[in-house]
Amino acid sequence: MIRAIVAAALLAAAVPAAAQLSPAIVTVGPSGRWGAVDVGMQRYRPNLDAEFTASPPADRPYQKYFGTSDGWMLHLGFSRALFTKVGSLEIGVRSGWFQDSGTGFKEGTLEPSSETTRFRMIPTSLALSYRFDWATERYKIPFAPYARLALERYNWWITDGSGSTSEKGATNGWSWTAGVAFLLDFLDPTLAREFDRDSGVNHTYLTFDVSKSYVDDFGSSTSWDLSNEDLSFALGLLFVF
Amino acid sequence: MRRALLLVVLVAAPALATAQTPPGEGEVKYGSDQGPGELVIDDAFINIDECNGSVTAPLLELLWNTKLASGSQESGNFKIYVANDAGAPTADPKYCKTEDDPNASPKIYAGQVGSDTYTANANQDTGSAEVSTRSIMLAGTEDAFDCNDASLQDRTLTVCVHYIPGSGSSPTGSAVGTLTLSVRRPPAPPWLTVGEGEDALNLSWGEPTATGTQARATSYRVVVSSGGTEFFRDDVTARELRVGGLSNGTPYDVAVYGLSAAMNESTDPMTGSGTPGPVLDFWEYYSQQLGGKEEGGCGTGGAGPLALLAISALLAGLRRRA
Repeated sequence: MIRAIVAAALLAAAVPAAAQLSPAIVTVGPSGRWGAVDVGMQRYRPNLDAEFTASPPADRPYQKYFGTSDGWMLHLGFSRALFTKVGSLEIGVRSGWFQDSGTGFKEGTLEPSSETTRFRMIPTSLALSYRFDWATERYKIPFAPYARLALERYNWWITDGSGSTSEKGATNGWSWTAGVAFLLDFLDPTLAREFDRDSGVNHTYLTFDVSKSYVDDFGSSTSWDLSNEDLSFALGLLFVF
Repeated sequence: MRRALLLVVLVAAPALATAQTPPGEGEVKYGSDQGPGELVIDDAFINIDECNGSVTAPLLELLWNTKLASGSQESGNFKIYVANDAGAPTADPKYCKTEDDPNASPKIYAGQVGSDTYTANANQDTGSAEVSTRSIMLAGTEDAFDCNDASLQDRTLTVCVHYIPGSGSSPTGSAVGTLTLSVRRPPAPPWLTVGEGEDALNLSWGEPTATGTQARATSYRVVVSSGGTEFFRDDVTARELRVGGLSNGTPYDVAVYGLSAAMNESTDPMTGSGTPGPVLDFWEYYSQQLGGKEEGGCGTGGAGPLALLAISALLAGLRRRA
């Protein structure tokens, strides 16, 4: 888990540096397909208040502290191709970041205080994905539908006004995703080929997908529900290399 | 292989870039790091307290690298002089005036810093010395200079090191640096809010606007006290601060002063008061609610991690077989 996060962080840190590398570092020539890296963001709001449906909405913990709007969850994924003859079957790990901040309430009176409390989370998943890019490869059709199944593990922690962690834990679950990827190479094939020669990136896709997560320790009676409240929409970039 | 090399380069590039970061701002350059003719002083200002001697100011450290106007470096002496603007060097070779000239217009105030001379060795054009703020003040200002007159404009004092070779009596090289004598005070913050937190106060204040001869506030001094006892004092550049380590139920007084670049305090602070009290963070509130079932700690039942491991192993096996 920690190694996965470290690997993801190293890769993320390397992206700006890679942009400044001289093309001369890498030899020219077409490259084969090995896997993919994807980055993106999605709307997210944990379904923590699901167990408080008997309470008035304003008194439900998550709504009281963090309001009603969704936050942004960022993610970075890395996957290895298992099969590339008809479409691409890939297995990979993904990790990300989510945070919500709210105001603490005074004990007793429950009046808003000047303290800030935060809910922070690192979602990590092991994902199996299939992208139907056969038509893209063969007929240059710039759209490739894809689907993904993932086992999820959300490590979370809550901080008080001083920034100290008042509680932490991890919740497991799974998710499904369906989406479509638009091949950006289609807009500028020459640039895409140069990018391939310089960095080994075969294709760059703009992705749009919808997903639903079920993260409640598989129905545990002593775990809260970190599933997304509703369907979640995500936007991202996929680099196939 | 090519991709492996690329990955190594991608990961290594940020580390290499970081390793080449230049020294941070405010670090004193030493010895030969200074350019020829350059003198560095470890404190760029003389403030009110140092000027009037109300605090024991630490000695100023001077580091220099002399630039020769003629001849070559040989054994000799360094002498340190201070002059006001009128006595500062104007052209190469850069020598300060070495004594007062009240008849000049504008008047020149200059003199040697103390009576010390420093040994200069052959082939060694760098040197260092520690001098007192007071001696610089006495040499570079008029006797009647009023350190407590906050309406006086800042003054630049030029410090010159004159290199005098052992075979002569006139300087043949020098190094020059400056420091600022500032007795102006900044205004206090225009407003202060004191938020009551758990064993803490959350402070925020407005940015003061300097008018007339006031100095600009570049940082702030925060003092928290109760019943005449000071519990917290710190200088900060931000305009918000969480002061922790206080006691719930105890009323505290807060004072925030503006500080100039020379670390002169505003005449009066902006004040406020507050009493810390218990605050429920999200977890505490959740735990108090009926129905709160999350027990914290690691996820229950090792199903998740085990499943991740099992599937990883399975897929790795399939891949190998393929």
